[in-house]
Amino acid sequence: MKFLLLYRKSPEPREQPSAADMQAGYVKWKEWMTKHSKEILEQSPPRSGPKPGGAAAVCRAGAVTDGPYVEGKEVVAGWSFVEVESFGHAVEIAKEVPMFPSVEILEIASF
Amino acid sequence: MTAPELPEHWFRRELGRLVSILSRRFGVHRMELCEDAAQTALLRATQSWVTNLPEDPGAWLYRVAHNHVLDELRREKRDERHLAQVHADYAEQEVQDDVLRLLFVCADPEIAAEGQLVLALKTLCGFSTQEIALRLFQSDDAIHKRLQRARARLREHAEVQSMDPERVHSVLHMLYLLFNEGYSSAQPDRLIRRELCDEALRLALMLRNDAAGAIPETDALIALMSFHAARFDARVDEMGGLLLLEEQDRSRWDGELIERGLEHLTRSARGEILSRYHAEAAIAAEHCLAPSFRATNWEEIVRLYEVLERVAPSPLNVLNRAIALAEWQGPEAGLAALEAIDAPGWLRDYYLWDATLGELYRRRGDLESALTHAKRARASAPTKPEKALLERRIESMSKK
Repeated sequence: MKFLLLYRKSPEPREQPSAADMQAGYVKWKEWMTKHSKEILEQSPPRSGPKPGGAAAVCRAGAVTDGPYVEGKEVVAGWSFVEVESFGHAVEIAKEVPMFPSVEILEIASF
Repeated sequence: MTAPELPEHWFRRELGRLVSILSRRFGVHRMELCEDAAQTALLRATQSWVTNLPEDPGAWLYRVAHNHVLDELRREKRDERHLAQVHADYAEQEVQDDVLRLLFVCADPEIAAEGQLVLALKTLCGFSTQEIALRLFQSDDAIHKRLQRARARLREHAEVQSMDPERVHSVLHMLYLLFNEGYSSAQPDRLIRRELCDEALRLALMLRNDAAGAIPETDALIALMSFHAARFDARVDEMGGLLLLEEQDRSRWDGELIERGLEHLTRSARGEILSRYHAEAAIAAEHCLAPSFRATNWEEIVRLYEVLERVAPSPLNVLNRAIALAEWQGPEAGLAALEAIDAPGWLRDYYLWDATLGELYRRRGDLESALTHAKRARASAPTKPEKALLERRIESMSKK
């Protein structure tokens, strides 16, 4: 199963990570990517889209819910693709995403 | 998947560089947009560089940030003509110049000194509003307001944003304040205070390397900062308690920084100008070069405080001179010097005034007066380590 992990952040300048946060975040990204290097895809799957009826969830501060997917004015800050054997595994990986307050998990399929 | 290590404070430095170069190219009146773009580029780097470090990271960041500004401006649907003239190239030497230019922009005499500091910390040193608030002991909101006011001034006065050589003295004063904020503030966290000192020294060295900043006063300021920074860590014991100069382990002073200080002090001795930085650096040099507290050349220090009083008069110089005088000629001479001045009320209420009087009375053998002043000093001392130091003195006197 393939999933898109979509990271969102607040556009409010005062809620942006500071340079020190980013320095720490860089280290955490390294750890996260190393830990899940088997599952994270190096390239975006071509010609893919949301799988009809596929699994979806959003993870905020460790809490996983089935919506709402976008809070207020959140903006997209980045994404990754993962390939795992279960939805639960994708959620576990998403929970550990550093730095971003919100991660959307969306099952995808190639056409 | 090998991710490169990025040096400490790399992100903060890059943020300052990006804001500088973008503000020059798109105008200081768009500084907020430039900060936003720099932020976005760095945030993107935290994710994508883990797998792929670009060949020239500085250029990569610049390109991403630059595109972000262009996209935003296009969204505003104006300035199309101006955009055509903005190039996306990136030259290392130019970046240095841009950082300096922004330093001069921050030192706008129409912006209050506090506002200049906040602006420089935000745009050049890459500190967030919260981080600045923590360092300057003010609320987030107060810092935010100062920033807004400073930016409003820059937005409305784009015409005065050139690198005006007249401003070099404001720039020096700003760096001096930045350093002192780190060196003497009541902020208890030593690491974050040290950061302010390091930033001030870094910017001063950068200023020294530019034709606009290569004046004797800049060397004197760098010397002053180096001598103080050399003693930064030796000022406290392992428990974090403050140590008197007399008690400090001089082998813990940073010899390299002292040498750098001497080098710049020598270079500063050219031309006719004798600034407060010269006098203060010379005093600090005397302390750094003395093999021990007793072997300090107090006579010379007394003389230098008199020089300092002439170029930058302050009752604090008189207080410091009295301390040096007491070391040179004994407590009577120090006390006489303090009695001779008409000290203003704020100085009499200042804890160092009482602490000094207490110490001089103690040495003269007048324990009763000594205790009275030491207790008054303890009551008004602003920080815990200083209170603890005074407590230590009071205890040692009470035992006798």
